[in-house]
Amino acid sequence: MRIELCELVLERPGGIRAVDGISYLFDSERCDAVAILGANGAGKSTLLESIPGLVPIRSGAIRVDGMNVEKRNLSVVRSKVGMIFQNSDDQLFSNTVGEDVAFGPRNLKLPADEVAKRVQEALASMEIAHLAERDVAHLSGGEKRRAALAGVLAMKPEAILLDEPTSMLDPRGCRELAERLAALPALKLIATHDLEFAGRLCPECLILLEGRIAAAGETGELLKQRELLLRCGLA
Amino acid sequence: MTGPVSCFFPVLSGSAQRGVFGRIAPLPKVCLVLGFLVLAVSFDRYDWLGCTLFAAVPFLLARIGGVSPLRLLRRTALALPFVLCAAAANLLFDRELVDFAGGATLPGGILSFWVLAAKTLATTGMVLLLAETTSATGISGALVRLHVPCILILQIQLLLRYLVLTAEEARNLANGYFLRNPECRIIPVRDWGMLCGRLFLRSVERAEAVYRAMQCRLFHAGKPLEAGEVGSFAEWGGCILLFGVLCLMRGTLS
Repeated sequence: MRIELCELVLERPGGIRAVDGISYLFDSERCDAVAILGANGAGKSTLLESIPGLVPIRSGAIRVDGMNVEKRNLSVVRSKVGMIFQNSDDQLFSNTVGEDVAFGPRNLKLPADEVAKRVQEALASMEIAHLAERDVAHLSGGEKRRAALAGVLAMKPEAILLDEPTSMLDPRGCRELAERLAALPALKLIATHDLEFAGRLCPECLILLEGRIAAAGETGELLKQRELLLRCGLA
Repeated sequence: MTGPVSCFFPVLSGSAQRGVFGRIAPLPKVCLVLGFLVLAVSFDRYDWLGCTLFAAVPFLLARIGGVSPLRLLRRTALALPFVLCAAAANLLFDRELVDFAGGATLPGGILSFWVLAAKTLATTGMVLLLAETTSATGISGALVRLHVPCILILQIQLLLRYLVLTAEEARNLANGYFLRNPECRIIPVRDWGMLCGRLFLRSVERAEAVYRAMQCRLFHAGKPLEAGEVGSFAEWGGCILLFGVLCLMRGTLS
């Protein structure tokens, strides 16, 4: 799986430039987990949301496996790329966990038995099979995060975008999430300012500053550069 | 989700899809409920006996179906104030004496007030019983089978989701307000405008976020909705039998 950003410019509502001419190639063969680091307002979330076509592209292009992210390709792009939002409450909208996980596979028009199989597999992979009948409103923060992830996994995406996945999680929840994500066979792009989490999970990272790439490379090396981290609001 | 909206829309707060009714396919259940609604509202405004008996039906069915009638009554009662406020005018303006029972007479306003309350209990109770024992997907699948336009079903689904998150945001706003006003018990009228405006903006923002998450999982408003299962012969037989009994009741009680 390859996600290519070409001279990408994105704007937030009000014409504020969130991403300012970024070019980068995320390639699962080179590295299957990339952290996108940056302070608040650096453009991490906007960048992630642009990949499944949730934010209009001002100029430049995004290509997912060579396919341009544009209106006519959105269904294909979204079936390849799953996204976990910062607030799991925004993502869980069905009555029960099982129903919510089935939402994506149903939209893929899969037969009922295949939907049921995928739901079971996704719940089992997140170790929440016992929560299938639970009301989504009665889950803890960690359970909500796992349920949201199961909802995306049930669609068998080739890439998963995670926006601040560790927010609202305790240290144990963060550790468990990192272990689960590491085991997933998909390209993972993780927007975060949790440096410890990024260091644990992602061999490669991209540091954003005011919508531009301030640095990119091996996570371990970049996280040692205190000056860089201070300049980017990460230390 | 907690609070009044979750009480009023139990289908959104985790359906009790167990028990006899939970196991029946949605389509026969939806047809039975629609039939019941037609019969319940068809009573004349002074038909207090028929309405009262019909008001008891959802709670009897709930008891048989393994749903707590008391909980159903509590949820149904949330709809009563709206109807009773409207019906209160009858008490004032309808003073015509009407035969009640055993030759006794009562002002028509009192009887029509009672009839409206009973109709509310009957209809709301039955709809909530359906919601309690059937998933939202099941109900929408049944409505598709009944050829209800998909756009209407979608509107209902999205409206319910919007109401739920509006209630969540209202609770968060109220919590934020009261935590910084420890002495305050009721929000003063002067702050209602600000809070309502904020509630609207926040609920729209949340609704957009939810919609974006739905889009990410390939939701598309133009797609036709999936039709639900038809139901077995036995399920239809049971529902038709029950509807027959209700028709008989309606016929003999008017």
